[in-house]
Amino acid sequence: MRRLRRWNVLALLAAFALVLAACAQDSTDTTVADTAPDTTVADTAPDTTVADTTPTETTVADMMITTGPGVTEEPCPGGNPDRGCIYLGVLTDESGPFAGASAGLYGGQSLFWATVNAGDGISGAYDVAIPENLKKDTAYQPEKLVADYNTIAEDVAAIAQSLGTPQTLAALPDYTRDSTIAAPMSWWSGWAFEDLVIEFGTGYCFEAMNAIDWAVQAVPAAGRTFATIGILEFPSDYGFDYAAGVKTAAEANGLTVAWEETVIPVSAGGDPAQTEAVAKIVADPADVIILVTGPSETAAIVGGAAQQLGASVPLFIGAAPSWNSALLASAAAPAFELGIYYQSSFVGGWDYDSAGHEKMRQAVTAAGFPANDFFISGWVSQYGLKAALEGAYASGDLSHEGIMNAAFALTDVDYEGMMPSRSFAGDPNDVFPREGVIGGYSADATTGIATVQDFFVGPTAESYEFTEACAG
Amino acid sequence: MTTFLQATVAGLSLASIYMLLALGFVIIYKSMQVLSFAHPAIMLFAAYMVSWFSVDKDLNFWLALALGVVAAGAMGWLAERIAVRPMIGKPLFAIAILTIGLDIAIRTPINNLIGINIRSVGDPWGFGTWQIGGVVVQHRAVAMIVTAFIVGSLLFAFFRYSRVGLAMRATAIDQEVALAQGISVGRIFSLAWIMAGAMAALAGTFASSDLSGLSQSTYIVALKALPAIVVGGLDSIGGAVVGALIIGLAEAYTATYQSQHLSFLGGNFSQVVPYLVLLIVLLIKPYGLFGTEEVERV
Repeated sequence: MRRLRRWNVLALLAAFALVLAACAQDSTDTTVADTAPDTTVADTAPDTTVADTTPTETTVADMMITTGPGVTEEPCPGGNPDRGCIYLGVLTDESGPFAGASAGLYGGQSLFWATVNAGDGISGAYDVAIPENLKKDTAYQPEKLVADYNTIAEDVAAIAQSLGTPQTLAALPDYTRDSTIAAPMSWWSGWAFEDLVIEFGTGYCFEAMNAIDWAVQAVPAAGRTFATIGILEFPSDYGFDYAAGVKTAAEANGLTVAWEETVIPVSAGGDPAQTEAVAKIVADPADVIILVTGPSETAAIVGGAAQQLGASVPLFIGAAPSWNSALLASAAAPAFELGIYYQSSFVGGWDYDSAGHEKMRQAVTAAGFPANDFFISGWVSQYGLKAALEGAYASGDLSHEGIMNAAFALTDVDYEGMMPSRSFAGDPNDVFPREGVIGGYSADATTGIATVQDFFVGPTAESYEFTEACAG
Repeated sequence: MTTFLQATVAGLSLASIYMLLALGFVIIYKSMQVLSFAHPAIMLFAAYMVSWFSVDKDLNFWLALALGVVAAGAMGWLAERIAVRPMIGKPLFAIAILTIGLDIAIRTPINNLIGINIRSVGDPWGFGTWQIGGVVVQHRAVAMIVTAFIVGSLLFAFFRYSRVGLAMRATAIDQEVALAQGISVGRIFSLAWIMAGAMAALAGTFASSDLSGLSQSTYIVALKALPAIVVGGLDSIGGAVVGALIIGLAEAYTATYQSQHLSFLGGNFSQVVPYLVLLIVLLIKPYGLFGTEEVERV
């Protein structure tokens, strides 16, 4: 149990009396946050909305907060001395195939919480920290992620990043044992059916459906035919889940999937020149080629195909992780300048116009980091956790079970416009987000991708009966 | 025919990189009888240095390349003097294991420097191509093939005709006898690592001039050169050249034709082919096509 300091309680009583007097009808919004010291950057803190878990009556007894692992009365290192600290763990990949993404993802998450802490923190009572010693390099290995989790399980309130689908699936029994919630860093559609996983954005599968539905309109409008599709995919949940969505939408739209080939990631020993994929496109150039790969493979495939086919190269649509702004400076850049590359995503790109994006851009710029889309994923992944922590605090229970129950009850997590708000309470078919956004290559965009279609749900995704993961 | 020629160009490009890497492996093996697993890290280090000089410091690419070659040679020399030299006389497998540690020690900080971005080495070839009878030939491919041919020829002449090359060969055969003949074995070791580093710099720069650029994953290309040296024979310069050509062409032809004609083998079979070739060659000639066969009494 954590007892608030005496002066905090006194301040709370005073604030409570004022609140009761001023707006008794609005008691659901009354939390300890109202007593937090004002800061000059309070307005920049990311906001989330927790509707159902706040007590309707606030008394001193309600402020007796139950705490669990990873929650301390002592402030965070370098944090606000008037607040306690909530520690989160990060299970990332610093030496495996996604090592290149790790710094951006962790950076985005750290900046998110720094911005939250600079404002009200968690309800004005706690800061949130992800210290280096609670960040583990899983090397993208399931067994290592499980082992790493167990080394920090007693020290964390939740997992801010659990990178990889098979890796997170391997850890689910242990997360369940400890009632620990985790934000995954993957967009497998099956997360909709796992309670402890606080996923963000739509899944690969729905992202793909929207991409095809969009292309059915946009490709003919650009003066090209669209009857056949080629798919190049990583042999993983990422590739298979996205490909399942492509095939579903193709069937719904009367299109033919001419071929489907797997691509071994360069980081896993695959051919850097992607000779096989390029040869396939040259031999059988489908109207639209779907890329479910990484940036290195995207550069080699799009660039190699453009070198050999010139102006008759097909259109490409890449899944969100297929792009990196560094492609703008790569030797393949002239291929993208042909205007043949489009991009589906679960979240708005770097230049997207939303309050959340603006806060993220300010934080990244202030920290001196170059613009990179991995910061977006890291940043936006934390809104759900913040809402769960605020909900748990409001219910007076910051134990693992309390945080988990608060997460289950979230009905309106606000991503500040970075993506549509969503609920975690209810049947996946009813609450799982299906919105996607489409971008296209633009030399003027900060990271090379500009929005060409704002968030929408295509007819295939709209009517899809979502009762199980699309693949896997 | 166009498709075949296109695949041949791709295979020769691949072989050029494998060749430069294989030559580095062989130079060290010829002098010390040790397979250096630090070679991929030195290659990555060199490519990063070229990128840093060329892009970050805005130097002319050729100057950046020259500085990268020098830096990689220096890194090879340092690795040999600090880590490998004290191990002389110890079991060869222990030295090989040590080079794995060297690989990690060098590669980890370089990975941190490369970071989350794909980097350019600032090469002048970029996206440029020539159309020759319907075959698309990258400017980069021609540069790679010509460079690999020149470097291979120079190395062959060095080992065949120069006194230092002869000393290196003598050291590889028997270090004690070489010492008795007045050869500074230590200097030979250092020279081998410096030369291998320089080869790695060229290979790393070419590998990073690919459309996919320089990333943390680039080091894997060096590991893919291993089948080439095993097929050619671990201690043969000519073998490294032939092995690289066999592996590069086999990989490219498979990548081009297999999915169309032998699709039942599944996707990405071209990535298996180098190791399949390696297996077949070793079953027939355990010391590789051009490796020195050891005579053992039984």
